[in-house]
Amino acid sequence: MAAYHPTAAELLEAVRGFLGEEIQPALTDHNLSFKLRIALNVIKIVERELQLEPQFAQQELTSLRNLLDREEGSPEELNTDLCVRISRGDFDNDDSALLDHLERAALHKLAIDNPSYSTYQRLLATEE
Amino acid sequence: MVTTLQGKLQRAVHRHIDREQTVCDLRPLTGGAASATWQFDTTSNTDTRELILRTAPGGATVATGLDKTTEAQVQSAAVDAGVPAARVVFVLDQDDELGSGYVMERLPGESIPRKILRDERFGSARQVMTAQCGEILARIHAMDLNALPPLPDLSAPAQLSRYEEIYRSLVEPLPTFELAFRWLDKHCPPTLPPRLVHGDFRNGNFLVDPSSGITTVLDWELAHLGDPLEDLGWLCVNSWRFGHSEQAVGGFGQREALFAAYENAGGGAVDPRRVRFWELFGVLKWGIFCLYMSAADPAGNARSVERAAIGRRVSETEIDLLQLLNDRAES
Repeated sequence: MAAYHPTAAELLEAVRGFLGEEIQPALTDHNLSFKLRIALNVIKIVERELQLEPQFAQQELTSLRNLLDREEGSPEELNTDLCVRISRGDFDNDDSALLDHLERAALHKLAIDNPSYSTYQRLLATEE
Repeated sequence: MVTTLQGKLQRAVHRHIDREQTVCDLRPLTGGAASATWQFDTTSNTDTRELILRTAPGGATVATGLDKTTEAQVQSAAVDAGVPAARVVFVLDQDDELGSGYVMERLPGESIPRKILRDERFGSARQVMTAQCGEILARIHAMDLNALPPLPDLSAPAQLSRYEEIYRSLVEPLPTFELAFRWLDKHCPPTLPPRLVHGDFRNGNFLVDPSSGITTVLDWELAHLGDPLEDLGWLCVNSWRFGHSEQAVGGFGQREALFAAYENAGGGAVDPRRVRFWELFGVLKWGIFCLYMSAADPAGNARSVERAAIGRRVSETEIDLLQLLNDRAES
């Protein structure tokens, strides 16, 4: 793939700076400034996703393949397969390999969606 | 012809209160997903009244809350039973041309959870709120069902199948939600004689006074008949602790203190496992609500920024479900 410059992350950073530093202080409407805060937060989610997702996706694929004992299949197919197997009772509710996989996957999502979330912070502190 | 909200509300106030009252300072409040809320005053030569208008908004919501007339009836019955809630002044009718809705008194107090949990001035309120929650819930759950309008009967199995149906209608299956449904099916408690359940009794739906604590319980639109312990479980859902996870009850108290206050106020014996069932169900319900709110509009309209963003809160519910399923939740 050709290199695009500025990168997607750099473009977003510029937009976030503009919205946060120039538009936000100029807003007087309470409702609009509430929505702008949400929009800025969405931009941060996308920035984190651009940075973290490739590495997480690879780790998760490996983990899913191990858990399901399958060598083929797209992440979507494997995820659907896992859901079907859980739903028909292939796993016990306290299956530790399953719970570990799901927790790692959820922590990856939170690292992108909301790393300040209380449970994420608590689990991160426990790991260290 | 009267077309503006202000004009129609003025006419409704003349019809339902009296001809002397003038509507002023009409302002929208940031409302919940299932209601639109305005604050306004009415003044006459002799008095000023501080009021709230609450109407049904356009658009579908997942919760399928009560219609506004029924909600007003439940709220009035709660006031009559001594529950701290706002008195209903009048219910809109067809001639008001404002849709369904009602007007209630506007009470003072802070509702924003982060302020209530963090600001020093709410320190003494936080000390009493857990016991107040137990007492208020005991009072709600003791209400005479004959004093209430017909309400949906939503026992645990009924709610499980309703939310599973909504979940199955959404695009992407989530393994953690599958596991949660299996756990809930397996641990579904036997159905007891139904009581009035508030349905959204949590931090964020209380008005809090810095010295006296909870003065008003808001948002009666999800009231239904069912298992009273549903309200206790929902109050403990981690999302409603707003970062203060170590305080399981709304970010301000401990479960044991809540249960003791509830029992002392005549609420009946609390089975902690039953509360836990409802807490886990509550986390899942909130997760499905987030999924639903962020799902693509079938008509192809772009999502609002709020609706788009709420979809990325699903991961919060996944990690909380796993903590509960894994029995590693603190306290």
